[in-house]
Amino acid sequence: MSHSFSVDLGGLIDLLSEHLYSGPEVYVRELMQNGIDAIRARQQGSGEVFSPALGFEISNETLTFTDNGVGLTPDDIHTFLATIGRSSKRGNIELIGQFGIGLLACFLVSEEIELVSRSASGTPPLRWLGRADGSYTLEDGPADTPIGTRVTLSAREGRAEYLLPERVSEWAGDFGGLLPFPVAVNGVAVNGQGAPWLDTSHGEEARREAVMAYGAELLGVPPLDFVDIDTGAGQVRGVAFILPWTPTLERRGQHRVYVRHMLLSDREEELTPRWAFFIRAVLDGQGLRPNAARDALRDDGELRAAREEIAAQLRAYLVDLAGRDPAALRRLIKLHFLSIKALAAEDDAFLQLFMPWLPFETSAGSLALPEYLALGSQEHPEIRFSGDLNLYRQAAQLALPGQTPIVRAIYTYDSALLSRYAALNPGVRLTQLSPNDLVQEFSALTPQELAQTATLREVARDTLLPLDAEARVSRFDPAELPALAFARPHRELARTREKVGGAGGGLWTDLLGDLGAGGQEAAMEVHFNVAHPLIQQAARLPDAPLLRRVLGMLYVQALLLGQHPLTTRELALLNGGLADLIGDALAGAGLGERESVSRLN
Amino acid sequence: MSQQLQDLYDRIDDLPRCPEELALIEEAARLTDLMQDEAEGYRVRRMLMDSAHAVGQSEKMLVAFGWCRDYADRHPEALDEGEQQDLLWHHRWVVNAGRTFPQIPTPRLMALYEDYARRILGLSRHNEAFVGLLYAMHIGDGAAASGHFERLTSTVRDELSACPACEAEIEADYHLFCGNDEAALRQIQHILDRRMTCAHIPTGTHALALAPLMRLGRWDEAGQHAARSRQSVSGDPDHLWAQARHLEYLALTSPNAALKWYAHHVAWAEQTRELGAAQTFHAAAAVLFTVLWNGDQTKTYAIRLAPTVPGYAEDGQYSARERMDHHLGEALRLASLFDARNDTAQQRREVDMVLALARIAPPAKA
Repeated sequence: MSHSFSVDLGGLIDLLSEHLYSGPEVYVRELMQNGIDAIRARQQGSGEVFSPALGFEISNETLTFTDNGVGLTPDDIHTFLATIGRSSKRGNIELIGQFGIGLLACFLVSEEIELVSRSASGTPPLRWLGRADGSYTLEDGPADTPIGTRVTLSAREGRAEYLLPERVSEWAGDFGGLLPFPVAVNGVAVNGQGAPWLDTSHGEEARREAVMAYGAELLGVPPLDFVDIDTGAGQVRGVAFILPWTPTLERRGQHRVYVRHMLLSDREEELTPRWAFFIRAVLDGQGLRPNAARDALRDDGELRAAREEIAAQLRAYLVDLAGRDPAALRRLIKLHFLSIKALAAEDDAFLQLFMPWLPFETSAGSLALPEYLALGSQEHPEIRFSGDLNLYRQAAQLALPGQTPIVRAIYTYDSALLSRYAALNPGVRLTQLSPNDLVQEFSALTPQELAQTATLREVARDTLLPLDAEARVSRFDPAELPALAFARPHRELARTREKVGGAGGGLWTDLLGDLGAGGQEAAMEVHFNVAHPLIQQAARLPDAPLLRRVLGMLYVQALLLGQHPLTTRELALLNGGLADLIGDALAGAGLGERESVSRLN
Repeated sequence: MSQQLQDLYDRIDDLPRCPEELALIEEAARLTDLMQDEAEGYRVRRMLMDSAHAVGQSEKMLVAFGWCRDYADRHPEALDEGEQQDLLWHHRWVVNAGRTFPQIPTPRLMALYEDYARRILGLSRHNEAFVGLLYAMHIGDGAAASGHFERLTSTVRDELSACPACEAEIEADYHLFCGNDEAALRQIQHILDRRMTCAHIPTGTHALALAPLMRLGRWDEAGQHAARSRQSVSGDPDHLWAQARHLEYLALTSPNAALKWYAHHVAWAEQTRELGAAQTFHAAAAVLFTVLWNGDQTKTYAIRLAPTVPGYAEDGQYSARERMDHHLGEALRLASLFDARNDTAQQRREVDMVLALARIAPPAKA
């Protein structure tokens, strides 16, 4: 036994409103879309000459939309309006609108839809009246109905704001911004005269001026330049404006995309390559397909092929600019080097071409690679970089004039770019700094110094190893620094482990211990500078509490100089050492402990 | 809050998930520690957890979580209910990430699991099944996996559950674990048809489809999935696993493109501390060089490798045999670390399954 089920049209409309469409205003888009489809059908049908037009007339919360397209025959009405969801292919013309579904959107703002239409095929005019409860009536239309379709809506309760003339004008102007025929609201045209980049009737100079003016209106300020886009896949035509500012994350990828002249989205991101955040594009695809909600493009082969062509055209623009107008390229790179770096990270040939132009933060300031390499050895060119901010800070502290500067490669693409650059240019040595690399530049001690510092080295090792620090004695510049401390990569892990362990240990202490297992190295490496007078004095001390206290304090001082946060034990060392030193100083000044305390009180 | 910290936050806010963001958040954590501001330190480390998780550096996520968990336990009054709940939700990440570090022994993983269950007053059957299924598949316990799968698909989600997209993808993983490529592909299509999204979905989902489609000889479909996700996962350190799947596909369909893909991604595979993902990439690279080597001891290829890659050659010429041996050795070494910890041979089996792709006949040229 079979049963039929009924559809709650009201509920369906609510569903559409909440989940498919972005908002009730889409009824304007759907009406226009149906009108455009009808106009195209009439243009391609009989070949007759007529002036296409779309118009809205609004008064007293009633809106009438008119198109002079092909109109509907009685069969069309039964096909498209009696069965919701039926495809609306007319002959061989693939329409982006689906007439019935599109008209359904009108229920978002109106309880009733009146449609009066006369078909260009010569059938008599008809009047269709549909209601939100799913019922409809069909009768003869007025005899003087012109070819085309007229839809009349009356605002539902609470929806009057969606039928205000000024709002409809704004939406119709946006949705139909690139239509090559007029869209009028209460007799006033609200759209332009098609895409300015396609208008060559007044010569190239006039076209460029019109496009730049369009860009200035779009962006609020004149763009730096624009790139014409013309693809075979998806038949995309349009322009990519070069932004005159560096876009923030939120403002990236806000491209305005039309499908067959109708606005699809002004936040489309899929049609342009992901590295192209230096542009805002306005693109119109004749061969692209929208998704069901018609607010984004469908991810299909056509879209991907179009994106690849657009990527190639943007890349070609940059390459051409490098040869044609280096000053303009410099201005562009100054604003958009992150975007250019993102492309270079994906494309070796582009990287080779553009690497000399790209700025890198270094210990000698912001430098392009040729400037950077000119500062180092010409015989053995080398790039030294660090992606670790802690290490970079230490390294920059040690970088002296005449030495190869250090690149601060924390920008997203920097490490990858430098690696690829070195891979493509084997003559250039690439060194990712580690604490070991830095200390290798420290001078080794002479045999005499080794002998003189034997006790110091042994006591330093014994004192600091319990603090998870490996102590060494070296000679380095600047000589004013008595000690330098380097954090090894697992310092944060070790510090956290100590912090969460408290007195009792526990799961997290054990787990972090497991995680750090395998590395036998201490978490810090500290170098005492034998060139510093304090270290020379300390080296003459015997192994006694004073020497241990001095070394401990110098270690903590090195941590503080390097802006390394202290662990609880290191903080205790600092506090204890300070108390001892103050106590000693007070004692030396003839103040006993009791006396000094009483004075402080 | 210091101006320096505020400036850092401003820069962080303007960055997508990327290693640069993580570096700046670590810098912010250092500043809060210097200021001894624990409340701000908690806030920064919550950010750090998300960032580290999203850029393929889970080891840092574990450390940050340990810090946060300790803070939350010592200062329960400092976090409101929403923040406590948020921390509990992320606890599941830690439980799942734990097994991907072979240096963490099984008893500790069990303790971690019990701690999680205790904190959420006993796992709901649904969430227990989710966590249990992942672990059972990792150690190759088919019976346990089957039980967890049954419970996962027959119990309701709650506010501490993984997102629906991730749960749906775990189902596809389970079918692959069982060797049921057809069922896995149906589930993958289900995810795509419903436009489910998460950090790795659908980009990683397309990559997940590649191996089963290759095994079934459905090359056209594989090509479509590859085209839909390749650009999205390229160069992203958190997509090393998906990059490995693309490498396998390219190895069989376009070895020249595979070599470029390999050169672009191998440096991170050698560097990451997420060893499970590294194992997958090494196995995929072994497939590539097995295909290229093809028994010819003298075959060399020009590859632009970064100097940080082990075996780097200044002249850019690499023996296919040497590369194959290196990556095969690494894949097996990592698998043995996991298997030794788990006392099973599952990871070795997974490497073997990837290596078997090299024996598939490539698609006929059109």
